[in-house]
Amino acid sequence: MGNVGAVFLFEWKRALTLPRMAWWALLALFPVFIVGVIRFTMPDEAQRVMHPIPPEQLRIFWASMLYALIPMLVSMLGTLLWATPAISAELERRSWVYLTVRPNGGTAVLLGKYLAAVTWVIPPALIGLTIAVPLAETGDGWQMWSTMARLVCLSCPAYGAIYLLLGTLLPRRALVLAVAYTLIFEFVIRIIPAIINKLTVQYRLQALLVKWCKLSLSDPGDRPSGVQALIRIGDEPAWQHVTILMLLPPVLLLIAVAILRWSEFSASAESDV
Amino acid sequence: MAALIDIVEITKDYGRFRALDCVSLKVESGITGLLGPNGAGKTTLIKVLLGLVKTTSGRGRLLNFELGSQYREIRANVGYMPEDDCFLHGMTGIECVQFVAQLSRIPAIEALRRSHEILDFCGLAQERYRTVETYSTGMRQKLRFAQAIVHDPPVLILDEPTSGLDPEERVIMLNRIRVLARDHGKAVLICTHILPDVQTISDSVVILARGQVQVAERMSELSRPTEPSLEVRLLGSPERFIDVIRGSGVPIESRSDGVLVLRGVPQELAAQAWRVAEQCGVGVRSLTPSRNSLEEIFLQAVREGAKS
Repeated sequence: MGNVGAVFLFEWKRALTLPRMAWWALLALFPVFIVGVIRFTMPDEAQRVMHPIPPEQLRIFWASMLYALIPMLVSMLGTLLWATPAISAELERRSWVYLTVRPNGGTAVLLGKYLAAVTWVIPPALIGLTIAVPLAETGDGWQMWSTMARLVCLSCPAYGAIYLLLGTLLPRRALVLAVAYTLIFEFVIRIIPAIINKLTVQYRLQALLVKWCKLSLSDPGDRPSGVQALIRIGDEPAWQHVTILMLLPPVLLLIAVAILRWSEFSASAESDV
Repeated sequence: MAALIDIVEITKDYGRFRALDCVSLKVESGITGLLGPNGAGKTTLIKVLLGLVKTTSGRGRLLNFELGSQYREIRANVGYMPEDDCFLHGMTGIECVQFVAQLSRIPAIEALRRSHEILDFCGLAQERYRTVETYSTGMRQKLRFAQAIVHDPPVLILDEPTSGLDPEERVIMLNRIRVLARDHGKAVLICTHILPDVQTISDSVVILARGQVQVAERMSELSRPTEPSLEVRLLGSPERFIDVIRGSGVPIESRSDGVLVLRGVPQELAAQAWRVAEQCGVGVRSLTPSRNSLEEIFLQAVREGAKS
Protein backbone atom coordinates (compact mmCIF):
# COMPACT_ATOMS: atom_id res chain seq x y z
CA MET A 1 0.00 0.00 0.00
CA GLY A 2 3.02 2.27 0.43
CA ASN A 3 3.39 2.90 -3.26
CA VAL A 4 -0.36 3.56 -3.62
CA GLY A 5 0.07 6.27 -0.97
CA ALA A 6 3.01 7.72 -2.88
CA VAL A 7 0.95 7.94 -6.08
CA PHE A 8 -1.97 9.41 -4.15
CA LEU A 9 0.19 12.15 -2.60
CA PHE A 10 1.91 12.80 -5.90
CA GLU A 11 -1.41 13.15 -7.72
CA TRP A 12 -2.67 15.57 -5.10
CA LYS A 13 0.51 17.60 -5.40
CA ARG A 14 0.08 17.64 -9.16
CA ALA A 15 -3.53 18.77 -8.68
CA LEU A 16 -2.44 21.91 -6.85
CA THR A 17 -1.90 23.91 -10.01
CA LEU A 18 -3.83 26.97 -11.11
CA PRO A 19 -5.83 25.31 -13.92
CA ARG A 20 -6.83 22.39 -11.74
CA MET A 21 -7.74 24.66 -8.83
CA ALA A 22 -9.85 26.69 -11.25
CA TRP A 23 -11.71 23.50 -12.20
CA TRP A 24 -12.09 22.71 -8.54
CA ALA A 25 -13.58 26.16 -7.84
CA LEU A 26 -15.85 25.83 -10.87
CA LEU A 27 -17.19 22.50 -9.66
CA ALA A 28 -17.88 23.98 -6.21
CA LEU A 29 -19.44 27.21 -7.43
CA PHE A 30 -21.45 26.08 -10.44
CA PRO A 31 -24.30 24.52 -8.37
CA VAL A 32 -24.29 27.56 -6.11
CA PHE A 33 -24.62 29.81 -9.14
CA ILE A 34 -27.53 27.81 -10.60
CA VAL A 35 -29.33 27.61 -7.26
CA GLY A 36 -28.77 31.35 -6.77
CA VAL A 37 -30.20 32.15 -10.20
CA ILE A 38 -33.29 29.99 -9.59
CA ARG A 39 -33.76 31.33 -6.09
CA PHE A 40 -33.64 34.95 -7.13
CA THR A 41 -35.83 34.51 -10.21
CA MET A 42 -38.54 32.71 -8.30
CA PRO A 43 -41.83 34.54 -7.61
CA ASP A 44 -41.48 36.89 -4.64
CA GLU A 45 -43.52 36.64 -1.44
CA ALA A 46 -46.38 38.79 -2.76
CA GLN A 47 -46.76 36.72 -5.92
CA ARG A 48 -46.55 33.49 -3.95
CA VAL A 49 -49.48 34.61 -1.83
CA MET A 50 -51.46 35.07 -5.02
CA HIS A 51 -50.34 31.75 -6.55
CA PRO A 52 -49.24 29.50 -3.71
CA ILE A 53 -46.89 26.57 -4.48
CA PRO A 54 -47.56 23.49 -2.36
CA PRO A 55 -44.62 23.06 0.11
CA GLU A 56 -44.14 19.38 -0.85
CA GLN A 57 -43.85 20.36 -4.52
CA LEU A 58 -41.22 22.94 -3.57
CA ARG A 59 -39.31 20.35 -1.53
CA ILE A 60 -39.35 17.90 -4.40
CA PHE A 61 -38.22 20.58 -6.78
CA TRP A 62 -35.25 21.62 -4.59
CA ALA A 63 -34.31 18.04 -3.76
CA SER A 64 -34.32 17.13 -7.46
CA MET A 65 -32.43 20.26 -8.40
CA LEU A 66 -29.75 19.84 -5.72
CA TYR A 67 -29.45 16.16 -6.56
CA ALA A 68 -29.08 16.87 -10.28
CA LEU A 69 -26.46 19.53 -9.65
CA ILE A 70 -24.31 17.93 -6.97
CA PRO A 71 -24.41 14.13 -6.49
CA MET A 72 -25.13 13.80 -10.19
CA LEU A 73 -23.42 16.54 -12.20
CA VAL A 74 -20.48 17.47 -9.95
CA SER A 75 -19.71 13.87 -8.98
CA MET A 76 -20.01 12.55 -12.52
CA LEU A 77 -18.14 15.38 -14.19
CA GLY A 78 -15.40 15.53 -11.57
CA THR A 79 -14.67 11.81 -11.55
CA LEU A 80 -15.03 11.60 -15.33
CA LEU A 81 -12.37 14.27 -15.75
CA TRP A 82 -9.89 12.87 -13.23
CA ALA A 83 -10.43 9.11 -13.12
CA THR A 84 -11.01 8.33 -16.80
CA PRO A 85 -7.60 9.44 -18.13
CA ALA A 86 -5.66 7.62 -15.38
CA ILE A 87 -3.83 5.44 -17.89
CA SER A 88 -4.25 7.39 -21.11
CA ALA A 89 -2.57 10.47 -19.60
CA GLU A 90 0.51 8.45 -18.66
CA LEU A 91 0.55 6.72 -22.05
CA GLU A 92 0.47 10.10 -23.78
CA ARG A 93 3.32 11.38 -21.62
CA ARG A 94 5.09 8.08 -22.32
CA SER A 95 5.66 7.70 -18.58
CA TRP A 96 3.50 4.58 -18.28
CA VAL A 97 6.38 2.18 -18.95
CA TYR A 98 8.47 4.00 -16.40
CA LEU A 99 5.84 3.65 -13.70
CA THR A 100 4.90 0.06 -14.47
CA VAL A 101 8.42 -1.31 -14.35
CA ARG A 102 8.31 -0.87 -10.59
CA PRO A 103 6.96 -3.81 -8.59
CA ASN A 104 3.15 -3.49 -8.73
CA GLY A 105 3.70 -0.07 -10.27
CA GLY A 106 0.68 -0.28 -12.58
CA THR A 107 -1.67 -1.26 -9.76
CA ALA A 108 -0.27 1.46 -7.52
CA VAL A 109 -0.77 4.08 -10.22
CA LEU A 110 -4.32 2.91 -10.85
CA LEU A 111 -5.39 2.81 -7.20
CA GLY A 112 -3.47 5.94 -6.23
CA LYS A 113 -5.08 7.89 -9.04
CA TYR A 114 -8.50 6.53 -8.14
CA LEU A 115 -8.17 7.65 -4.53
CA ALA A 116 -6.86 11.03 -5.62
CA ALA A 117 -9.75 11.50 -8.07
CA VAL A 118 -12.39 10.58 -5.48
CA THR A 119 -10.91 12.75 -2.73
CA TRP A 120 -10.43 15.57 -5.22
CA VAL A 121 -14.12 15.63 -6.22
CA ILE A 122 -15.83 15.15 -2.84
CA PRO A 123 -14.64 18.45 -1.25
CA PRO A 124 -15.94 20.82 -3.97
CA ALA A 125 -19.21 18.88 -4.01
CA LEU A 126 -19.59 19.31 -0.25
CA ILE A 127 -18.56 22.96 -0.35
CA GLY A 128 -21.05 23.64 -3.13
CA LEU A 129 -23.71 21.80 -1.17
CA THR A 130 -22.98 23.68 2.04
CA ILE A 131 -23.49 27.02 0.28
CA ALA A 132 -26.35 25.94 -2.00
CA VAL A 133 -28.64 24.36 0.61
CA PRO A 134 -29.11 27.50 2.78
CA LEU A 135 -29.42 29.55 -0.39
CA ALA A 136 -32.27 27.36 -1.60
CA GLU A 137 -34.22 27.81 1.68
CA THR A 138 -35.74 24.38 1.45
CA GLY A 139 -37.07 24.50 4.98
CA ASP A 140 -35.42 21.20 5.97
CA GLY A 141 -31.84 22.29 5.43
CA TRP A 142 -30.07 19.75 7.61
CA GLN A 143 -31.96 16.76 6.22
CA MET A 144 -31.36 17.96 2.67
CA TRP A 145 -27.67 18.59 3.33
CA SER A 146 -27.05 15.27 5.06
CA THR A 147 -28.90 13.34 2.34
CA MET A 148 -26.99 15.02 -0.46
CA ALA A 149 -23.69 14.65 1.39
CA ARG A 150 -24.27 10.92 1.80
CA LEU A 151 -25.22 10.62 -1.85
CA VAL A 152 -22.03 12.47 -2.85
CA CYS A 153 -19.97 10.10 -0.71
CA LEU A 154 -21.61 7.13 -2.44
CA SER A 155 -21.67 8.46 -5.99
CA CYS A 156 -18.07 9.72 -6.24
CA PRO A 157 -16.41 6.36 -5.41
CA ALA A 158 -18.90 4.50 -7.63
CA TYR A 159 -18.49 6.74 -10.66
CA GLY A 160 -14.74 7.02 -10.07
CA ALA A 161 -14.46 3.22 -10.25
CA ILE A 162 -16.69 2.99 -13.34
CA TYR A 163 -14.71 5.63 -15.23
CA LEU A 164 -11.41 4.14 -14.13
CA LEU A 165 -12.51 0.75 -15.44
CA LEU A 166 -13.59 2.28 -18.74
CA GLY A 167 -10.23 4.07 -18.94
CA THR A 168 -8.48 0.76 -18.37
CA LEU A 169 -10.59 -1.09 -20.93
CA LEU A 170 -9.94 1.36 -23.72
CA PRO A 171 -7.26 3.88 -22.76
CA ARG A 172 -6.97 5.35 -26.25
CA ARG A 173 -10.65 6.33 -26.35
CA ALA A 174 -11.27 6.59 -22.62
CA LEU A 175 -13.05 9.94 -22.51
CA VAL A 176 -15.28 9.14 -25.50
CA LEU A 177 -16.23 5.83 -23.93
CA ALA A 178 -16.92 7.46 -20.55
CA VAL A 179 -19.12 10.17 -22.05
CA ALA A 180 -20.96 7.59 -24.15
CA TYR A 181 -21.49 5.40 -21.10
CA THR A 182 -22.83 8.35 -19.09
CA LEU A 183 -25.23 9.55 -21.76
CA ILE A 184 -26.48 6.15 -22.88
CA PHE A 185 -26.43 4.17 -19.69
CA GLU A 186 -26.87 6.61 -16.83
CA PHE A 187 -29.26 8.99 -18.59
CA VAL A 188 -31.16 7.05 -21.27
CA ILE A 189 -31.29 3.51 -19.90
CA ARG A 190 -31.96 4.90 -16.42
CA ILE A 191 -35.34 6.24 -17.51
CA ILE A 192 -36.40 3.13 -19.43
CA PRO A 193 -39.05 1.40 -17.32
CA ALA A 194 -37.38 -2.02 -17.50
CA ILE A 195 -35.26 -4.15 -15.23
CA ILE A 196 -32.08 -3.02 -17.02
CA ASN A 197 -32.32 0.38 -15.35
CA LYS A 198 -31.50 -1.31 -12.05
CA LEU A 199 -27.98 -1.75 -13.36
CA THR A 200 -27.37 1.98 -13.33
CA VAL A 201 -25.86 3.90 -10.45
CA GLN A 202 -28.51 6.57 -10.95
CA TYR A 203 -31.26 4.09 -10.10
CA ARG A 204 -29.67 3.42 -6.71
CA LEU A 205 -28.89 7.05 -5.96
CA GLN A 206 -32.33 8.29 -6.92
CA ALA A 207 -33.98 5.60 -4.84
CA LEU A 208 -31.90 6.69 -1.86
CA LEU A 209 -32.76 10.33 -2.54
CA VAL A 210 -36.47 9.56 -2.42
CA LYS A 211 -36.14 7.42 0.69
CA TRP A 212 -33.79 9.62 2.69
CA CYS A 213 -35.55 12.88 1.79
CA LYS A 214 -38.93 11.17 2.32
CA LEU A 215 -40.20 12.55 -0.98
CA SER A 216 -43.75 11.79 -2.03
CA LEU A 217 -43.55 11.31 -5.78
CA SER A 218 -47.25 11.27 -6.67
CA ASP A 219 -49.59 14.19 -7.11
CA PRO A 220 -52.85 14.08 -5.19
CA GLY A 221 -54.41 12.75 -8.39
CA ASP A 222 -51.70 10.04 -8.73
CA ARG A 223 -50.44 11.71 -11.89
CA PRO A 224 -46.67 12.03 -11.80
CA SER A 225 -45.28 14.91 -13.80
CA GLY A 226 -42.01 16.59 -14.77
CA VAL A 227 -38.96 15.49 -12.75
CA GLN A 228 -41.12 13.10 -10.78
CA ALA A 229 -41.90 11.13 -13.92
CA LEU A 230 -38.21 10.54 -14.49
CA ILE A 231 -37.58 9.15 -11.04
CA ARG A 232 -38.56 5.51 -11.06
CA ILE A 233 -37.68 3.60 -7.96
CA GLY A 234 -38.29 0.04 -6.90
CA ASP A 235 -39.23 -1.46 -3.58
CA GLU A 236 -35.74 -2.36 -2.42
CA PRO A 237 -34.78 -1.17 1.07
CA ALA A 238 -32.22 1.62 1.41
CA TRP A 239 -29.58 -0.68 2.93
CA GLN A 240 -29.62 -2.76 -0.24
CA HIS A 241 -28.87 0.26 -2.43
CA VAL A 242 -26.14 1.42 -0.05
CA THR A 243 -24.56 -2.05 0.03
CA ILE A 244 -24.55 -2.30 -3.74
CA LEU A 245 -23.06 1.19 -4.12
CA MET A 246 -20.38 0.41 -1.53
CA LEU A 247 -19.49 -2.94 -3.10
CA LEU A 248 -19.35 -1.53 -6.60
CA PRO A 249 -15.99 0.33 -6.31
CA PRO A 250 -13.90 -2.58 -4.91
CA VAL A 251 -15.37 -5.01 -7.45
CA LEU A 252 -14.79 -2.66 -10.39
CA LEU A 253 -11.29 -1.80 -9.16
CA LEU A 254 -10.43 -5.49 -8.92
CA ILE A 255 -11.60 -5.97 -12.50
CA ALA A 256 -9.58 -2.93 -13.60
CA VAL A 257 -6.45 -4.29 -11.91
CA ALA A 258 -6.99 -7.70 -13.52
CA ILE A 259 -7.39 -6.10 -16.96
CA LEU A 260 -4.28 -4.05 -16.34
CA ARG A 261 -2.26 -7.18 -15.63
CA TRP A 262 -3.45 -8.85 -18.80
CA SER A 263 -3.03 -5.86 -21.04
CA GLU A 264 0.02 -4.72 -22.96
CA PHE A 265 -0.47 -0.97 -22.96
CA SER A 266 3.21 -0.32 -23.40
CA ALA A 267 3.22 -2.12 -26.73
CA SER A 268 0.43 -0.11 -28.19
CA ALA A 269 1.86 3.09 -26.79
CA GLU A 270 5.04 2.89 -28.76
CA SER A 271 5.72 2.26 -32.36
CA ASP A 272 9.16 0.84 -31.79
CA VAL A 273 9.95 -2.85 -31.77
CA MET B 1 28.73 -18.61 -13.42
CA ALA B 2 24.90 -18.49 -13.30
CA ALA B 3 23.29 -16.93 -16.34
CA LEU B 4 21.73 -13.54 -15.73
CA ILE B 5 19.27 -14.06 -18.55
CA ASP B 6 18.39 -17.46 -19.88
CA ILE B 7 15.65 -17.52 -22.49
CA VAL B 8 14.63 -20.43 -24.65
CA GLU B 9 12.88 -20.12 -28.01
CA ILE B 10 10.94 -17.00 -27.21
CA THR B 11 8.62 -15.75 -29.93
CA LYS B 12 6.59 -12.59 -29.80
CA ASP B 13 4.03 -11.60 -32.43
CA TYR B 14 2.28 -8.26 -32.70
CA GLY B 15 -0.66 -9.34 -34.82
CA ARG B 16 0.89 -10.64 -38.03
CA PHE B 17 4.26 -9.04 -37.35
CA ARG B 18 6.84 -11.29 -35.69
CA ALA B 19 9.02 -9.10 -33.47
CA LEU B 20 10.98 -11.94 -31.85
CA ASP B 21 11.47 -15.18 -33.71
CA CYS B 22 12.43 -18.16 -31.58
CA VAL B 23 15.07 -16.27 -29.63
CA SER B 24 17.29 -18.36 -27.39
CA LEU B 25 19.90 -16.53 -25.41
CA LYS B 26 22.12 -16.82 -22.38
CA VAL B 27 23.59 -13.65 -20.92
CA GLU B 28 26.05 -13.81 -18.07
CA SER B 29 26.74 -11.07 -15.54
CA GLY B 30 28.99 -8.16 -16.44
CA ILE B 31 28.23 -5.59 -19.08
CA THR B 32 26.41 -6.87 -22.14
CA GLY B 33 25.74 -4.79 -25.22
CA LEU B 34 22.46 -5.44 -26.99
CA LEU B 35 22.77 -4.28 -30.59
CA GLY B 36 20.60 -4.35 -33.63
CA PRO B 37 19.21 -2.14 -36.37
CA ASN B 38 15.86 -0.38 -35.93
CA GLY B 39 13.05 -2.93 -35.78
CA ALA B 40 15.39 -5.76 -34.80
CA GLY B 41 13.41 -6.58 -31.66
CA LYS B 42 15.63 -5.05 -28.99
CA THR B 43 12.88 -3.07 -27.28
CA THR B 44 10.50 -6.03 -27.48
CA LEU B 45 13.13 -8.26 -25.89
CA ILE B 46 13.54 -5.75 -23.04
CA LYS B 47 9.77 -5.58 -22.59
CA VAL B 48 9.57 -9.36 -22.50
CA LEU B 49 12.27 -9.42 -19.83
CA LEU B 50 10.38 -6.84 -17.77
CA GLY B 51 7.01 -8.55 -18.20
CA LEU B 52 5.57 -5.56 -20.05
CA VAL B 53 4.48 -7.74 -22.95
CA LYS B 54 3.52 -11.37 -23.00
CA THR B 55 5.35 -13.83 -25.16
CA THR B 56 3.58 -15.77 -27.88
CA SER B 57 5.66 -18.85 -27.03
CA GLY B 58 8.85 -19.82 -25.26
CA ARG B 59 10.11 -19.51 -21.73
CA GLY B 60 12.93 -17.95 -19.84
CA ARG B 61 14.41 -16.75 -16.59
CA LEU B 62 15.98 -13.55 -15.39
CA LEU B 63 18.00 -13.80 -12.17
CA ASN B 64 16.36 -17.17 -11.62
CA PHE B 65 12.89 -15.66 -11.74
CA GLU B 66 10.51 -17.10 -14.29
CA LEU B 67 9.59 -14.68 -17.06
CA GLY B 68 5.86 -14.09 -17.26
CA SER B 69 4.92 -15.42 -13.83
CA GLN B 70 7.44 -13.79 -11.47
CA TYR B 71 7.53 -10.36 -13.06
CA ARG B 72 6.97 -8.64 -9.69
CA GLU B 73 10.23 -10.12 -8.38
CA ILE B 74 11.93 -9.32 -11.67
CA ARG B 75 10.83 -5.69 -11.57
CA ALA B 76 11.98 -5.36 -7.97
CA ASN B 77 15.44 -6.49 -9.04
CA VAL B 78 15.80 -4.62 -12.30
CA GLY B 79 16.48 -0.96 -12.92
CA TYR B 80 15.20 0.14 -16.32
CA MET B 81 16.26 3.29 -18.12
CA PRO B 82 13.95 3.71 -21.13
CA GLU B 83 15.04 5.56 -24.22
CA ASP B 84 12.18 8.04 -24.19
CA ASP B 85 11.80 11.10 -22.09
CA CYS B 86 9.11 10.14 -19.64
CA PHE B 87 9.19 12.63 -16.87
CA LEU B 88 6.52 13.60 -14.45
CA HIS B 89 6.02 17.21 -15.40
CA GLY B 90 5.82 19.87 -12.78
CA MET B 91 8.16 18.00 -10.46
CA THR B 92 11.73 18.84 -9.57
CA GLY B 93 14.51 16.37 -10.31
CA ILE B 94 14.80 15.29 -6.71
CA GLU B 95 11.03 14.78 -6.43
CA CYS B 96 11.02 12.63 -9.57
CA VAL B 97 13.71 10.34 -8.22
CA GLN B 98 12.11 10.20 -4.78
CA PHE B 99 8.74 9.35 -6.32
CA VAL B 100 10.04 6.39 -8.32
CA ALA B 101 11.97 5.22 -5.27
CA GLN B 102 8.74 5.26 -3.29
CA LEU B 103 7.05 3.34 -6.09
CA SER B 104 9.73 0.74 -5.46
CA ARG B 105 8.43 0.59 -1.89
CA ILE B 106 11.21 2.55 -0.24
CA PRO B 107 9.84 4.65 2.68
CA ALA B 108 9.60 8.39 1.95
CA ILE B 109 12.51 9.61 4.11
CA GLU B 110 14.85 6.83 2.99
CA ALA B 111 13.77 7.47 -0.61
CA LEU B 112 14.73 11.14 -0.25
CA ARG B 113 18.11 10.29 1.27
CA ARG B 114 18.86 7.80 -1.48
CA SER B 115 17.71 10.19 -4.16
CA HIS B 116 20.21 12.82 -3.02
CA GLU B 117 22.96 10.21 -2.87
CA ILE B 118 22.18 8.93 -6.38
CA LEU B 119 21.90 12.41 -7.86
CA ASP B 120 25.31 13.21 -6.39
CA PHE B 121 26.66 10.09 -8.10
CA CYS B 122 24.99 11.09 -11.37
CA GLY B 123 26.39 14.61 -11.26
CA LEU B 124 23.16 16.55 -10.86
CA ALA B 125 24.05 19.26 -8.37
CA GLN B 126 21.77 22.24 -7.69
CA GLU B 127 19.80 21.43 -10.85
CA ARG B 128 17.99 18.78 -8.85
CA TYR B 129 15.82 21.53 -7.36
CA ARG B 130 14.65 22.72 -10.78
CA THR B 131 11.55 21.38 -12.51
CA VAL B 132 12.35 18.74 -15.11
CA GLU B 133 10.90 20.79 -17.97
CA THR B 134 13.87 23.15 -17.67
CA TYR B 135 16.47 20.36 -18.00
CA SER B 136 18.88 20.02 -20.91
CA THR B 137 19.21 16.71 -22.76
CA GLY B 138 22.26 15.77 -20.71
CA MET B 139 20.51 16.50 -17.42
CA ARG B 140 17.48 14.48 -18.48
CA GLN B 141 19.74 11.60 -19.34
CA LYS B 142 21.35 11.76 -15.89
CA LEU B 143 17.95 11.95 -14.25
CA ARG B 144 16.68 8.88 -16.13
CA PHE B 145 19.81 7.05 -15.09
CA ALA B 146 19.29 8.10 -11.47
CA GLN B 147 15.70 6.89 -11.54
CA ALA B 148 16.84 3.51 -12.85
CA ILE B 149 19.36 2.91 -10.09
CA VAL B 150 17.76 4.58 -7.08
CA HIS B 151 16.37 1.33 -5.65
CA ASP B 152 19.79 -0.34 -5.93
CA PRO B 153 18.80 -3.16 -8.28
CA PRO B 154 21.30 -5.93 -9.07
CA VAL B 155 20.42 -5.76 -12.78
CA LEU B 156 20.31 -2.66 -14.96
CA ILE B 157 18.72 -2.46 -18.39
CA LEU B 158 19.79 0.76 -20.05
CA ASP B 159 18.21 1.79 -23.34
CA GLU B 160 20.44 4.28 -25.20
CA PRO B 161 22.13 5.63 -22.06
CA THR B 162 24.54 7.89 -23.94
CA SER B 163 22.41 9.20 -26.80
CA GLY B 164 22.26 12.97 -26.93
CA LEU B 165 25.28 13.43 -24.67
CA ASP B 166 28.33 15.47 -25.66
CA PRO B 167 31.62 13.51 -25.94
CA GLU B 168 32.81 14.44 -22.45
CA GLU B 169 29.49 13.59 -20.80
CA ARG B 170 29.41 10.36 -22.80
CA VAL B 171 32.72 9.25 -21.36
CA ILE B 172 31.56 10.19 -17.85
CA MET B 173 28.33 8.24 -18.30
CA LEU B 174 30.21 5.18 -19.54
CA ASN B 175 32.50 5.45 -16.52
CA ARG B 176 29.51 5.53 -14.20
CA ILE B 177 28.18 2.36 -15.81
CA ARG B 178 31.61 0.76 -15.54
CA VAL B 179 31.83 1.71 -11.85
CA LEU B 180 28.44 0.16 -11.17
CA ALA B 181 29.40 -3.05 -12.94
CA ARG B 182 32.96 -3.44 -11.70
CA ASP B 183 32.80 -1.96 -8.18
CA HIS B 184 29.19 -2.65 -7.23
CA GLY B 185 28.71 -5.96 -9.03
CA LYS B 186 25.74 -4.86 -11.11
CA ALA B 187 24.84 -6.79 -14.22
CA VAL B 188 24.21 -4.32 -17.02
CA LEU B 189 22.42 -4.80 -20.33
CA ILE B 190 23.03 -1.83 -22.62
CA CYS B 191 20.87 -1.34 -25.66
CA THR B 192 22.42 1.22 -27.99
CA HIS B 193 23.22 2.23 -31.55
CA ILE B 194 26.55 3.76 -30.57
CA LEU B 195 28.89 0.87 -31.33
CA PRO B 196 32.10 2.40 -29.91
CA ASP B 197 30.35 2.65 -26.51
CA VAL B 198 29.66 -1.06 -26.55
CA GLN B 199 33.18 -1.86 -27.73
CA THR B 200 34.60 0.32 -24.94
CA ILE B 201 32.78 -1.10 -21.95
CA SER B 202 31.03 -4.36 -22.81
CA ASP B 203 32.19 -7.78 -21.75
CA SER B 204 29.88 -9.48 -24.23
CA VAL B 205 27.68 -8.57 -27.15
CA VAL B 206 24.32 -9.74 -28.45
CA ILE B 207 23.31 -8.68 -31.95
CA LEU B 208 19.68 -9.03 -32.97
CA ALA B 209 18.44 -8.69 -36.53
CA ARG B 210 14.92 -9.34 -37.77
CA GLY B 211 13.91 -10.74 -34.42
CA GLN B 212 16.65 -13.34 -34.35
CA VAL B 213 19.92 -13.57 -32.45
CA GLN B 214 22.72 -13.27 -34.98
CA VAL B 215 25.65 -12.96 -32.59
CA ALA B 216 25.98 -13.71 -28.87
CA GLU B 217 29.62 -13.78 -27.92
CA ARG B 218 32.16 -12.42 -25.48
CA MET B 219 33.75 -9.18 -26.66
CA SER B 220 37.27 -10.60 -26.40
CA GLU B 221 36.33 -13.48 -28.73
CA LEU B 222 34.57 -11.23 -31.19
CA SER B 223 37.43 -8.75 -31.38
CA ARG B 224 40.02 -11.42 -32.11
CA PRO B 225 40.82 -11.32 -35.86
CA THR B 226 40.64 -14.51 -37.93
CA GLU B 227 44.26 -13.93 -38.98
CA PRO B 228 46.64 -12.52 -36.31
CA SER B 229 48.19 -9.21 -37.28
CA LEU B 230 49.74 -6.05 -35.92
CA GLU B 231 48.66 -2.49 -36.63
CA VAL B 232 51.44 0.10 -36.80
CA ARG B 233 51.10 3.87 -37.00
CA LEU B 234 54.27 5.73 -37.92
CA LEU B 235 55.55 9.28 -37.60
CA GLY B 236 57.23 10.12 -40.88
CA SER B 237 57.33 8.60 -44.37
CA PRO B 238 56.52 4.85 -44.31
CA GLU B 239 57.84 3.84 -47.76
CA ARG B 240 61.26 2.60 -46.61
CA PHE B 241 59.73 0.87 -43.59
CA ILE B 242 57.29 -0.99 -45.87
CA ASP B 243 60.11 -2.07 -48.22
CA VAL B 244 62.31 -3.40 -45.39
CA ILE B 245 59.45 -5.30 -43.75
CA ARG B 246 58.33 -6.74 -47.08
CA GLY B 247 61.96 -7.69 -47.80
CA SER B 248 62.08 -9.71 -44.60
CA GLY B 249 59.16 -11.83 -45.85
CA VAL B 250 56.41 -10.39 -43.64
CA PRO B 251 53.18 -9.58 -45.57
CA ILE B 252 52.33 -5.89 -45.08
CA GLU B 253 49.55 -3.68 -46.38
CA SER B 254 48.90 0.01 -46.07
CA ARG B 255 45.33 1.03 -45.24
CA SER B 256 43.75 4.26 -46.43
CA ASP B 257 43.76 5.66 -42.87
CA GLY B 258 47.59 5.44 -42.82
CA VAL B 259 47.72 2.33 -40.64
CA LEU B 260 50.17 -0.40 -41.70
CA VAL B 261 48.94 -3.96 -41.11
CA LEU B 262 51.65 -6.60 -40.63
CA ARG B 263 50.41 -10.20 -40.90
CA GLY B 264 51.81 -12.59 -38.32
CA VAL B 265 52.02 -13.16 -34.58
CA PRO B 266 51.82 -9.67 -33.00
CA GLN B 267 54.28 -10.43 -30.18
CA GLU B 268 57.00 -11.50 -32.63
CA LEU B 269 56.30 -8.70 -35.10
CA ALA B 270 56.41 -5.95 -32.48
CA ALA B 271 60.17 -6.30 -31.82
CA GLN B 272 60.89 -6.42 -35.53
CA ALA B 273 58.76 -3.33 -36.20
CA TRP B 274 60.61 -1.33 -33.50
CA ARG B 275 63.94 -2.41 -34.94
CA VAL B 276 63.02 -1.55 -38.55
CA ALA B 277 61.52 1.78 -37.56
CA GLU B 278 64.76 2.76 -35.80
CA GLN B 279 66.77 1.58 -38.80
CA CYS B 280 64.57 3.66 -41.18
CA GLY B 281 64.59 6.75 -38.97
CA VAL B 282 60.82 6.89 -38.41
CA GLY B 283 59.01 7.14 -35.12
CA VAL B 284 56.38 4.66 -33.95
CA ARG B 285 53.17 6.39 -32.90
CA SER B 286 51.31 3.23 -31.95
CA LEU B 287 51.70 -0.50 -32.20
CA THR B 288 48.66 -2.66 -31.37
CA PRO B 289 47.45 -6.16 -32.14
CA SER B 290 44.64 -6.01 -34.71
CA ARG B 291 41.06 -6.35 -33.46
CA ASN B 292 37.92 -6.94 -35.45
CA SER B 293 35.88 -3.78 -35.53
CA LEU B 294 32.47 -4.10 -33.94
CA GLU B 295 31.06 -2.10 -36.82
CA GLU B 296 32.15 -4.77 -39.30
CA ILE B 297 30.79 -7.54 -37.09
CA PHE B 298 27.53 -5.65 -36.71
CA LEU B 299 27.12 -5.01 -40.44
CA GLN B 300 27.92 -8.61 -41.25
CA ALA B 301 25.37 -9.85 -38.69
CA VAL B 302 22.71 -7.53 -40.07
CA ARG B 303 23.45 -8.69 -43.63
CA GLU B 304 23.19 -12.32 -42.56
CA GLY B 305 19.93 -11.53 -40.77
CA ALA B 306 18.55 -9.95 -43.93
CA LYS B 307 19.52 -13.03 -46.00
CA SER B 308 17.81 -15.42 -43.60
